[in-house]
Amino acid sequence: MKTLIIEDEYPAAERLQKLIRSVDETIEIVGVLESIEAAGKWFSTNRAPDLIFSDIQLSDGLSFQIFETFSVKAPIIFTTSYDEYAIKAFKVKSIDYLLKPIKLQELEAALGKFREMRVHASPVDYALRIESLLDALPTAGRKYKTRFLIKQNDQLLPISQDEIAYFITANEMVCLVRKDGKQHLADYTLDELDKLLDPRLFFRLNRQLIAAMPAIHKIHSHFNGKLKLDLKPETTQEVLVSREKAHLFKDWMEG
Amino acid sequence: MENPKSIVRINDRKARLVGIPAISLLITGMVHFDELHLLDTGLFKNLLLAFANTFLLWEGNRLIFIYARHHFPQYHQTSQRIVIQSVVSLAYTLLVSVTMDYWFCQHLLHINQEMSLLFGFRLALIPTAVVTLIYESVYFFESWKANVKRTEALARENVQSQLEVLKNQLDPHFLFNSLNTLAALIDENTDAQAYLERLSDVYRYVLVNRDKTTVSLEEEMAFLNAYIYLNKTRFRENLQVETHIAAAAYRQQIAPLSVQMLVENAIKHNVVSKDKPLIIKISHEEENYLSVENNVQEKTLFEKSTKVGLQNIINRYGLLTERQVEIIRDPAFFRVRIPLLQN
Repeated sequence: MKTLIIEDEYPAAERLQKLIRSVDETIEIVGVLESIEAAGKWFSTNRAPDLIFSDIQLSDGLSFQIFETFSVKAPIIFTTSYDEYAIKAFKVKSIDYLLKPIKLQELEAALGKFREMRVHASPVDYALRIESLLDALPTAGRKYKTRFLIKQNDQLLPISQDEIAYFITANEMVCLVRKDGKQHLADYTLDELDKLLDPRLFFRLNRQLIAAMPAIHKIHSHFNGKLKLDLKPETTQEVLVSREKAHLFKDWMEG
Repeated sequence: MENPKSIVRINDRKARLVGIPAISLLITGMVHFDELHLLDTGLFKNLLLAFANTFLLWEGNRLIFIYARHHFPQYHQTSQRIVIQSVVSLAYTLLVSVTMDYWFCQHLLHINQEMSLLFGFRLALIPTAVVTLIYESVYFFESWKANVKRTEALARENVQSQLEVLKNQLDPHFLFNSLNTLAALIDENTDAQAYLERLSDVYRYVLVNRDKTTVSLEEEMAFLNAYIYLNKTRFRENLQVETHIAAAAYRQQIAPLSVQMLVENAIKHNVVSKDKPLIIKISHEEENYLSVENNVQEKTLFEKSTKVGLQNIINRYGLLTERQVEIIRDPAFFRVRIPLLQN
């Protein structure tokens, strides 16, 4: 089993290796990386390992930034000394973490859990799980969500925010509609998206729709001060913006 | 705090230089309106008289104002000050105007003008009142400004001291990273590893739970066991802790660090030795109380207890429940009963 360690302190990395080996001699440690930069190089040339142990605070930033750039298809066990926000998010998203100083028993338990999970979880699931952790973390090193990971069969399809036309709810599901008309199920509610997306690029038109600016094709005045919009790609139902929201919408359009 | 008596400094030079001649002119103009076109010595005399009057009244009342401020500097003395200041001011104004009218004008200058009774006093009353009110309000505004400044400075200082406290606090990141490094350094020594793990558990618990109002007894006791482990490593069998807690009680709530504080106090205040082992009993008792009891064998050379710890527990429980924290002192034992709280 190939395991990668991301840790910027030598004694900590050495101790972790030693502890891992004492739990299971067959675990192969394929690398010890000390920074985001080193991790960047490693991930662009190597295939994802089977398991990653990652410290949070590295010498050049938070390790979350690594997983922001690479959608890593491997389970990650975070090692942390005291990151309250992160720990809260780990608990909510049931992501494994070990508190420093790392205890042998807790490492054993984490490895045991990993082996159990490995039986029915796919690499795609791991990547999605980390993605949802990054969404939940206020300190993940990004302001807004710029990328979506869409699961298609066993593939993971990354969609950049530039490709998105709008999000629309239909039958209580949220659909991501791309500029080329392709549609995908998005695993978010519109309220969640409203908080995650860059408000300069996306606007909450009404209860059913969040649209990107280029998707606004035509704006018509409707009765009662409402606005009626034509979107591109076209929607099946007519798109209305309430009178209350109309001036906010115009401000947003004008930038 | 600034001495309030030293505040009585009024920057009114310009006001006086302009105000006194201006009022003199105004009053002369009003009283002798019909004679204005004559521009004779009579008018000039009247102007001088008005000037003398105004000068005496302004300066005198100003001094009264300053003295009143000086003797009643506090805000709560305001009404007292205003009554006394008004009476003295009125008396002084009366005295000056009467003296000027009857003694100075009639006896010395022999100006015999037809004048109604206390004409000068009545004439002086309104300008004096106006000027005094201006003084009063300017002064009020100035002290209000000073007060605001002081409040701001105080707030700044407060923030500063809080910042100092934070600076002096050990960064938990540093603490746990260091403990982790230490774990790497001590390597194979399992006793040391066990000690280190408990030590970090104790600190983590304190950091995570110190702001919570309650925790479950289970969490508190798990933490307490780590804390006792550390102390038993120091004292070995000289420290004995017995716990008798029913399984169901573990789900109840307790103020965090309360049991630990009692255990810490027991160790701090009492002899712990081979001949005199300290025995601490923690038990769940009737009426849903948790009792922490120890045999009393007070240290002879012990820095006087500050009682902060126990008082802190009492205060915290005062906010949590109507039930009292009970303290039982006996020559042989010391027992504190803290109420367990339903979840």
